[in-house]
Amino acid sequence: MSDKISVDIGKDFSRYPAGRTEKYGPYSGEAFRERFLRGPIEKGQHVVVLFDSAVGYGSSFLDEAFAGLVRLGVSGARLHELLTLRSDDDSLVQEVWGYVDDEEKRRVN
Amino acid sequence: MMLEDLFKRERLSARRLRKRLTRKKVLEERNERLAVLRLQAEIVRAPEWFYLLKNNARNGVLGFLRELRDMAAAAPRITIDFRGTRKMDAGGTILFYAELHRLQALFPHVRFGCLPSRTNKVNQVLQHLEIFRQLGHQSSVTPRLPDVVSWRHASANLVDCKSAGKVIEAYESLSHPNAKLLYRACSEAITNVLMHAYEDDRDDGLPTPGEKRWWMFCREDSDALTMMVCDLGIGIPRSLPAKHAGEALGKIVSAITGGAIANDASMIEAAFELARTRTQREHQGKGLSDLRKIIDANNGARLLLFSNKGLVIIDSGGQPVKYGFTDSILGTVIGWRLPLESIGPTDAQQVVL
Repeated sequence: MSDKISVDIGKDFSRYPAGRTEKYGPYSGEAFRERFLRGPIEKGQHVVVLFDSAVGYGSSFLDEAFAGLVRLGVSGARLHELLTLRSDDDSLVQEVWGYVDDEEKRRVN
Repeated sequence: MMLEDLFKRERLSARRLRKRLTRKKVLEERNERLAVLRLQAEIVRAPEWFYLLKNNARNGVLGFLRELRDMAAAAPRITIDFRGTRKMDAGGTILFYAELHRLQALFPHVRFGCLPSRTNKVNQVLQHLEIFRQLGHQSSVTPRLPDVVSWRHASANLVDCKSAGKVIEAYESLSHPNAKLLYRACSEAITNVLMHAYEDDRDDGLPTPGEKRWWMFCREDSDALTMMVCDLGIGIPRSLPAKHAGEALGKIVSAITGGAIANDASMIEAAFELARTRTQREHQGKGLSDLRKIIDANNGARLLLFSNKGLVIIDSGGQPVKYGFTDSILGTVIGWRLPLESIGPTDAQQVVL
């Protein structure tokens, strides 16, 4: 499947994303991953994620939303292939890929 | 005629007498009721200065909070006497604010009241933060001072950072990158509260509340923007060993203390060190590093982390400095202080709720 899906975190999910798991908050990384990323990625769809309309992100949210997919069995390489991360803040995009790549190293080792 | 007059006067006198007796009885009954109420009412004197950094002031705040807890567990009424309170700092005030919320949730049958301060600014703070309302006190004080009306607050029992995010967004003097970093710090502090702070009893002898609540203050004065996040949980010195039972914690604590017994401040420093060294190894536990990012990005900024008997202060570009106290705050208060010249392109602006 080659359809591209675009997700604007601040507009489609929450302007105030926070936390790791749904148990502790409705706008957690886990909630975002399950609602917007996991299904399309498992179907092989390309997802463009837009970061800049949310107020900010903590590492727990970012790690769980993106590296959490690696923990669920999606390889880091597959994520690099299917995910496009867009932000004016390059360090934010690098940070997310850092979490994904670290998780991939852990998975492989 | 004379006889009639006499009769009328006597009747009037009898009426007056009855009236007097009735009034006396009413007064006696009222005095008796007041005496009972006085016996039931417990007055707790608030400290002169709500401040956590100096020993004397801190002891005053913690002694007051201890007395408040004891009274709430035993008395049907509590009157907080603010008459001698002259200054309210953000750290001491958020701890009191949180404790009051907790006690009112634990003991809904206790009636709280207060005697206002003799210092107008203190009354403005108490009015603006709605503490007067919480205590059932109707005050005509109107908060006007810029460094009073710039206080904003939020609280929740989930990692739902909408209210906290809105507080941060309201400060127009914050640059966009700093607002994002402050939100990052705040949301990670709140995430830590929900995941670790309430895993056991608080050791204050009171029932454990069913909810995991956090409180947040933000304040802008002429020099700086201050943000505080507070919880009334077990504190980092207790939650850290529960979270990291392995050798790594022991090694880090030993390196910090030089082999001596770890105090609470050493445990807080160990938490930062663990967060710093875990980035490559484990996916959880990086949150405390997020607390530092905004400090490292702003010259002159400062992070204060009070937890139980310990305090760690980190200045931008600096190493953690540890302080120990004799008494525990029974929880955690994290504060960020950002000097205004470094946080945005505009001068400090008065923000009115």
